[in-house]
Amino acid sequence: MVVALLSQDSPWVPEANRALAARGDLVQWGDTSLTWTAEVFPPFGAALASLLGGNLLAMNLVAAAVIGLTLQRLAAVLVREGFGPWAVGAVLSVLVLTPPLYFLAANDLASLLGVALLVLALDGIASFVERQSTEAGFRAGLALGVAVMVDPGAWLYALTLAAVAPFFVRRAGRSGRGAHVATVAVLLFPAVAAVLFWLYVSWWFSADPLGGMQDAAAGGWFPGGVGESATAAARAMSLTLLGAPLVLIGFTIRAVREPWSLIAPGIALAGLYLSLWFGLRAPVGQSYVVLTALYVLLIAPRAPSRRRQVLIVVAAAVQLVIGWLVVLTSGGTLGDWVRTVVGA
Amino acid sequence: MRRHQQDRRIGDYLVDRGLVTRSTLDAAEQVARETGGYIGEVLVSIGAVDSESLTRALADLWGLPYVVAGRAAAALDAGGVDVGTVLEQRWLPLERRSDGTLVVALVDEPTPARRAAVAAALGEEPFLVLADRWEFQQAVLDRYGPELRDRASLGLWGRSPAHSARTVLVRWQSVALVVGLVLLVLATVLAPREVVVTLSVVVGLAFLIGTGFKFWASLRGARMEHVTRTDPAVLAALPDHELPRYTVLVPVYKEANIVAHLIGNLGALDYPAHLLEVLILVEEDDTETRAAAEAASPPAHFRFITVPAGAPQTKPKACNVGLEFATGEFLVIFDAEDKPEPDQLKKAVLAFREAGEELVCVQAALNYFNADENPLTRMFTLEYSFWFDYMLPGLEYGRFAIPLGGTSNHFRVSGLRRLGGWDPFNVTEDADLGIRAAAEGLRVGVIDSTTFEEANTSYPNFVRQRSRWIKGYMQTTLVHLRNPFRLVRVAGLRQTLSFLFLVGGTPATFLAVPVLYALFLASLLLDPEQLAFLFPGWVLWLSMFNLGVGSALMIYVSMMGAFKRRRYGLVLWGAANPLYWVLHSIAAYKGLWQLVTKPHYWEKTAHGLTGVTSDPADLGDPGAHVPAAVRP
Repeated sequence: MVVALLSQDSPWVPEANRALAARGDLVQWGDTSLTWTAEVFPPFGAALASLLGGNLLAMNLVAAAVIGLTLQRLAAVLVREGFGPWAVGAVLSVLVLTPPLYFLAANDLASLLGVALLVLALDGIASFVERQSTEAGFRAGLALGVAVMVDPGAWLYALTLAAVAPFFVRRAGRSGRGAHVATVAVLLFPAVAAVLFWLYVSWWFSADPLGGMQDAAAGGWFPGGVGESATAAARAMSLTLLGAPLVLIGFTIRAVREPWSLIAPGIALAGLYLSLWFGLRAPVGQSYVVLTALYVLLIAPRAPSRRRQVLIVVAAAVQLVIGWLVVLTSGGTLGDWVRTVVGA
Repeated sequence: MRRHQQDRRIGDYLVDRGLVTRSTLDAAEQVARETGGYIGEVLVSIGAVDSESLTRALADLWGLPYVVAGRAAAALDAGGVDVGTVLEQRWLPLERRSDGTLVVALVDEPTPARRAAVAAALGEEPFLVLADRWEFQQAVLDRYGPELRDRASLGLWGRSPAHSARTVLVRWQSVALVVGLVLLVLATVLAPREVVVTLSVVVGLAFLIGTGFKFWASLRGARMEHVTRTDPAVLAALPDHELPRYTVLVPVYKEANIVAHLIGNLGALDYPAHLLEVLILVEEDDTETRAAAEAASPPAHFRFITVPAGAPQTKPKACNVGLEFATGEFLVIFDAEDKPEPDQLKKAVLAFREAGEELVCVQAALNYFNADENPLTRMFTLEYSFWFDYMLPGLEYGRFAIPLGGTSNHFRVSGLRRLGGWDPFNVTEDADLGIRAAAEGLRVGVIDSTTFEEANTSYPNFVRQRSRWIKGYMQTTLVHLRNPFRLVRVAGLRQTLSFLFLVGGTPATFLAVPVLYALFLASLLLDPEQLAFLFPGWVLWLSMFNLGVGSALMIYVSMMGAFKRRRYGLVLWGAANPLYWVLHSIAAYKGLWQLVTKPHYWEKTAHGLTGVTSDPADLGDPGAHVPAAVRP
């Protein structure tokens, strides 16, 4: 809330939220012509912006509520998994006490919603695989279905999921003829159905049914060429991982001890990489937030010992320091935003 | 102690007469001790002695003449004795001797209290004889056939006409219908466009609410996935002597081709045979089925009840006759082709014990053993997997009214009798009973056990069956809306609304399907402007939402149902649901037509059409939900 208010009073221009508000302006509630349907894709974000009247402060407040709910869910996961108060505080502090989450909330509501839905989906997939819970798979499918109508990048997570499904189907207790196809179908049906339906609506009402989808990559597909873009994406991912030692350590321990448990975080990492490679809009800080959420949901150790909790607290502190150092010294968008907002 | 001594006396007597061997008796005594059963029942159930020989021996022991009850079934003037008294107190006046003394057949020990009760009821001192209990039942049927038929047919209507579908529409409903139709016609003449738009809104809202409710209930049901309703350890530790007597009703009609299977299917039930009573309810005119069942040599605890002929000739009427003779504390209905999981009865017993008296019925899941036979059986299986594995657990979780499925409903007999049994004029008597229970403040639950059935393989047969179900839903809606305020007062608003969404909404939705499909097809061919007059503003949004979100959600939950059942090959068939709904729609219009022309007609579903046997491979992933009953 405080950041939202500070943001409003600063000269910083939240481009993504403005673009979202512009898409929201196209929505005409109760309209019969619906000629604008293709242009507002993905429509849920646009609809939300329209309901908020395109008001940037209102969008920030909604983002604050989303952050609150997401953090509450993440904290609940940590407590459930046996983290003590210091470890919970330390892990959450790398989100709460660093700028990326607030930058996302203040500048890009659609991406923040996409991240929140991705958190839901990944949580579901983890339970689907580890607890063999059909209900969790159901939840993951629905979350992905909504996510593709909020954030175009969600498609890549969904496709990655389909691609790696054969590797976790048996682990999820699903064996037998047709189990792979069936698993992919139940996880992806909502996303596929949602997009097909929107295509039908756009085809019927709009002159350019694919217009909104093509706009997903604002800077063009594979910026700088396929190879160049792949290298840039790999570099960006590596830097983000290096800046998140908490995640890196957890990931390494899991890779050694329980490689199967990395299926769900692997999906997210692959999705992140693909969205950067394809040139889909990837706001600053999104990768950091997604990685930290991944840590809490899927990578953090279950019932950590006291010694391991100390290690977690230390790693979180290091991540916190690195996070601020990067922001204050790199001179990138995040640093500019911080300086503008605090008036420095 | 006394019981033990009497059992010993009976056993010794049977050994002395050479009817059983000492070793058999010892084994039977052990079973009787462990299970709390009577020695005679145990001996009969294991086939060591037949019921008649046992009764003759008991007659000797008790000093009563043995009588073949059926031989003296002619009309007898025994004033004041009705069939209810006869069945409840288990004695039957047979004839008057030349000296005027009334001869009365008993089936239980003639204790002084029983002798006094009979004398008091008759107003005279009778001459008592002992009859075999199965012959006694037949004699009661022979003697009181017309009375039993009337009780079974008109019992509910007689005691509570408002709960019976014998009358399709009560006066106010008829008036409201006529007035509504007249107003509709007038409005159509005066403002046709507004009428069409209004109807579109009504249909759209009904679809939206109905779909939303089903989806919400399914999500709730999915959450119940990891809830263990029956603790396997508790189930395994359930001692036989704690098990109550259980009655199984199997109504059959024109099913000579499959009736023999039921002996194998129900014979696999894990329940002490001497505590189990399987009553096969055969219609009086169906000699073929009865002959086929008798030819299969059923075990001693399988008995035939001849359902007296007369309208309406429906399954619920047969069940009501069966209920009259039921001696179990609990009762379940199975169809002839049903394959229940062996521990289903024990799970039901535990469920009833853990709940209070307000739990009147528990429903087991139904699924199909011939799912992959053809597209129709695949769709049917998808539908049932969603309904029984997600929907009903969701309804139970929210304590909503549960419309019972056709078979595998287990009842507390006392509660069932309190509710008045089944409505023989309602062609979905099961769904009606579930709603009636909720309307009376009672509860229906579910158990995690499955009965495998035969899915309909024939399209015409499917439409016939479905038209009956949808007609029954219409009947049930009309019956329970006769006193809507009372329904809300007793059952509560939530129960009433869920009933409306589920039972009332289902026929309404399927009736709307052709119109909605026609509009969808038109949208593919016409420009939006050409349909705009039908869909002004929000009406279009509502319709689009229903088309896109509502349909997709219904497809998705059916896919998830199949996925949960591990019937992976069926999951993608979920996308064919829109075609399946067309069949429902055809059935809905047929059901509506029949509601007008022959409301109580029972569209018989032909069984035994499948070419598939209950091979485990047909039941999805081996070892997952495959019932032990059908494992090799």
